[in-house]
Amino acid sequence: MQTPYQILGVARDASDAAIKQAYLQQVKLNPPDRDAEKFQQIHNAFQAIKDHQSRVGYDLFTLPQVDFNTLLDAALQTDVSPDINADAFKEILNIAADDEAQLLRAIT
Amino acid sequence: MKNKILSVSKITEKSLAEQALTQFNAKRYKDAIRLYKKLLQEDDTPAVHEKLAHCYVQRAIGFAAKGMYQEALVLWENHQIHGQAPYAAYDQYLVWLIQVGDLDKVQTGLNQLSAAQLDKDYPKLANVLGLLILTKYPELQQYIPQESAFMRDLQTVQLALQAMQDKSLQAVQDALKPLPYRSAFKDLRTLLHAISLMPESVEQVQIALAKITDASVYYPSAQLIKAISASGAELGEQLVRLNYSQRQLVGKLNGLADKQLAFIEHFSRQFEQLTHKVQFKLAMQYQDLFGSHLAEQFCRLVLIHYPAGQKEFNKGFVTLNEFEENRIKALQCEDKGHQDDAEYHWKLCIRILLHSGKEDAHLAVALIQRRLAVREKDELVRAKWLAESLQYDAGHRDSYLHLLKIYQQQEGRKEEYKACLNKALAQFPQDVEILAQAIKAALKNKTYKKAAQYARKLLAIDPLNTFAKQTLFSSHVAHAQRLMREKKYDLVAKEIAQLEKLNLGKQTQQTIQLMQALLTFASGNKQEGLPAIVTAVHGAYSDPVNAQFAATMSALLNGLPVATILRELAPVKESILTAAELKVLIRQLQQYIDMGVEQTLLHKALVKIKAPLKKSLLTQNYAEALVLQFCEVLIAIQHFELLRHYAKFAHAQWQKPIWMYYRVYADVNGVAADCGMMEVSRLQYAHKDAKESKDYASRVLIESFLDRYYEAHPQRAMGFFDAMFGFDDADDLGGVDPMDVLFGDLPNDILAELNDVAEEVATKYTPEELIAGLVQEVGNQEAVFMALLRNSDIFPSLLLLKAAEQLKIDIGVGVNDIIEVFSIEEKNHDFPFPFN
Repeated sequence: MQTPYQILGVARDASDAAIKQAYLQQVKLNPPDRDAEKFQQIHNAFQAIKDHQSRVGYDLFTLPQVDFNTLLDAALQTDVSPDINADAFKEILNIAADDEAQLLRAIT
Repeated sequence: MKNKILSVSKITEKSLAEQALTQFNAKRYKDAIRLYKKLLQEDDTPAVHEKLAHCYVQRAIGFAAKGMYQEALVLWENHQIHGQAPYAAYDQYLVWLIQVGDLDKVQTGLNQLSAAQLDKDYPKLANVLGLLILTKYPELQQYIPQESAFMRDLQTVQLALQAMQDKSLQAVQDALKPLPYRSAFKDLRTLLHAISLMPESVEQVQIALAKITDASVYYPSAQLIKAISASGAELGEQLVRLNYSQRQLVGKLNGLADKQLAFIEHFSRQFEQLTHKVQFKLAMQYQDLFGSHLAEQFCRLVLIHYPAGQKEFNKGFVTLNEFEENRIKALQCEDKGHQDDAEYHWKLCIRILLHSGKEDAHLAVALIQRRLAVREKDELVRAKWLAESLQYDAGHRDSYLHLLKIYQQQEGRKEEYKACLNKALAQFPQDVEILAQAIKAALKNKTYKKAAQYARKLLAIDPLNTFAKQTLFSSHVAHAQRLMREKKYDLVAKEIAQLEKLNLGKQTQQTIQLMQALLTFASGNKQEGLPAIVTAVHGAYSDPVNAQFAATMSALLNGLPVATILRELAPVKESILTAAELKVLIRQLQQYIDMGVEQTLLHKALVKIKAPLKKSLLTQNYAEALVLQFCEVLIAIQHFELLRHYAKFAHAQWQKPIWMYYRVYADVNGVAADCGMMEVSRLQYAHKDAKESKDYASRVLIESFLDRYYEAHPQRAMGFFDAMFGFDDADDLGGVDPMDVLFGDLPNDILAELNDVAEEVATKYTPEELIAGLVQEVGNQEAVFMALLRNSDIFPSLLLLKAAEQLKIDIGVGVNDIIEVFSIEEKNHDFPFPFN
C-alpha cells in the first residue's frame, strides 16, 4: 500500500509548495476523466499531507499498513531491467514445448 | 468396478443392441466396446462399426489425458479398423505419436495430409506443430506439405527469430508483418510483440499477453514473460505458480540475487499455507531483504494474530517508545471499535506529548482531542474536548463553529457561548460563518446595535448576504421601536431615515411606511396616523388575520395602545385563514423569533387571532407539512394552547409518532419532568413507532424528551419495569395503543390527577400486590406473567386503575377491561425459559 508521499512522489520532508507542485503534476498526468479512481487517490494523498497540520495528523493517525505484499514489493525489486534475447526466448519456448498437459489442452 | 460391469450372459430382457446403446449413451465406452464387439458377431453392419470406432476414439482420448499415450495410440488405431477417413481426432493422434517419439509414424501421418487439410481442417495441429518445429522437432518440417500456408508462415517466423538473434527488435516486428491474422503462429507473434514492449511499459506487456488464452500452446511462455516483466509482489505471485526450473529462469532474467531466489524458494514451499505464523517467521528471517523497518512494522501488526511471536519479536527489534506504543494501540482499538480503550491510550499519548517539549506537541494534542471529540457521543464531553483542543491550537475554525453549535443547543451555556464566540471572532474576524453566528447571538441578546455592526462587517465581505441585509434592517427597526417606546420621536425619524437609505425592496418599504405611520400616530397626530397605519398594514397584508397580528405586534413593540389601533381594523373573529395566509403568519412569527422578540408579546398578539386559527384548522384541510411547520413555530414561542389544539387534530388525522410527541409536549407545557405515566407510555409507543417506521427525526426528539424525563425521575430511568417486562418486545395489539383504548377518553385534568396518584401507588405497592387482582380474575398466574412479559403497559394500566380506586373516581375501566384489551386469557404462548 502506497503512502501519500509515494503516490505524489515527494520526500517525507517536502515543503508545502513542493507537495502542491507534485500534486498538480500528478493531476496533469492523471486527469479525472481518464482514470477517476487514480485521480481520487492522488487527491486524497494531497489532502492527507498538503500542509503542516495535515502532515502531523497523518503521522499521528496512520497505522502502518504493511501487509505481506508490501514485504514482497520491497523484497523483489532489482536494478536490472529484464531483457529477453533470442536464446532466452528459445528457452521460454522450450518450456512451453515440454509442457505435455498444455500441448494436449491445445490440441483437444 | 468389476461388479458394475454387466455380464453379457445376464442380458435377457433387453436386446444386445439396446444394452450397448445404453452403455454408449452413458459414456461407459469400455463396456460399450465389449457389447458392440459381441453384437458385431451377430449383426455386422456399418452402423455397429461406426459406434465401435467412436468408442475406441473416446477411450483413446481418455488415456491420453492421463498421459498414457501408448494405450491411446493402440485404441486409436483400433478405431481406424472400424472407421473411414477422415479419421476422428487425427490431429491428436499425431501429437500422441510425437509424444512417444514415433517419428516414422508421424512422418507417415503428416504425409497423408494435404496442404489444405493442415491449414483449414487441423488449425490446432498446425499451432502445436509450429511450436514443436521451432523447438524440439525441427526435422518435422520436411514432412509438412510444402505448398501449405503453414510452411510459408513458418519461414516468416524463422526470419523474425533470426532478426532477434541479431538483436534487432524492430527487424523482428518488420519480419512478422507478412504473417496473416489467422496464422498458426499468431500467438508467437503476440509473444514477440510483448517482448518488444518490455522496455516501455509493464502494463502494456500484460495487456498484450492477456490476448493469449489458456488453451493456447504458447500459454506457458506467456506466463513466463508476464513473470519476467513483473516486479515486487506481483512477481512473487507469478513465481509461486511456476516450477523450480521456471522460477530459476525467470529469476535469472529478472536479475534476482541469490538471496532473493532463496527467499522465493522458501516462500513457494509455504505459500499455500501462509498463516500469520508463517508470515511472521518469513518476515523475521528475511528482514534484511524486506528492510528492517518494514519487517518490524509488519511483525508488530501480525503480533495481534500471532501473540506467540512476541518473544522472538522483542529479541529481533528494539521496543517502541511509550508514545508510539500507545499511539499504535489507540489506533488498533479504534479499528476494532473499542472506543473506550482507544480513548485511554490517546489520553496517555496526550500526557506524554505535553511533557515532551517537542515542537509540534501542542498541535498533536489538539488533533488528538479533536479526534476524540468526533468519536464522542455525549455532547457535553465532545464540547469539553473541543474547548480543550482550542487551548492547544486556537486556529481551528471548524472547532469554534462546532463548539458554538453545541453551546447554543444547550441550556445554561450562555457564558461559554459568548466566550467562544469572542475567541472565534478574534481569530477569524473576516469569516462569514462566524460573523453570522455573532449576528444571531447579538439578536438573541437584543443588542441590535452590535448585530447591525456585525451585519455591516459581513456585508462588506459578502454584499449579497441576505441574512446580513435582513439583520441590518431588523436591527434598525428594533432600535427605532425602542426609541419610540422611549418617546424620542426625533431620533425615531432619524432611524427611519437610516432604514430608507438601506433600500432593501418592497417588503421593507412597507415596514418603513408602517413605522412612519406609527410615528405620526405616536407624535399626537391621531387623525392622520390611524388611517396611515391601516393603509400600511393592509398594504403589507391582504387578509384581516395577518393584518391584525401585524398591527398588534407593531403597537406592542412601539409601546402604543393596541385597542385604539385595532379598532380601526376589521374584526377577525369570524375570519378564516387559507393555507397561503397561514404561511404568511408563520413567516411573520419566524421573523419575530429571529429578532428575539419576547414570547409574551407574541402570545398577546396571538390571543387576538386565536379563534380564527382554531376554526381554520377544522375547515381548511391544511397539508400536514404546513401544520408541522406551524407547530414548530408554536414550540419555538412555547404557545402550548394552540400547539395542543393543532397537535391533537393532527394526531387524529395522520397518526404519526411526531404528532403524539407534540400532543404530549403540549400537554405537559414542554416540561418533560411533568410527564405522568400515561404520557411516558404514549411517548414510548411513539418512539417504537418512529423506530419501526425509520422516522429518525421524531425518534431523536422523543428520545431527548424521554431522557429529560428520566433525568428528572432517576428511579424510573432504572427501567426496572421496562427491562423486566421487555418493552421493546413486539406486542400483539396491531399498532393500537392499549393505554389510549383504556384511558384515551378521560379528560386531561382527570388523567393528570390519576397520574400523580399512580406515582404514589407505584411506591406503595409491590408488583405482586398490584397484579393480585388480575391473577384472581384471570385465574391463571402463568397467563398473567406471560401477558406482562409481552406488554409492559399492563403495569401502568393497573397503577392508573389503583389510583382511580384511591381517588374514588369511576373511570369506567376495570380489571376485566385490562384483561380484554391486553388479551390476557386468550394468549397461551410457550414459556420462553428453558425450565418449565
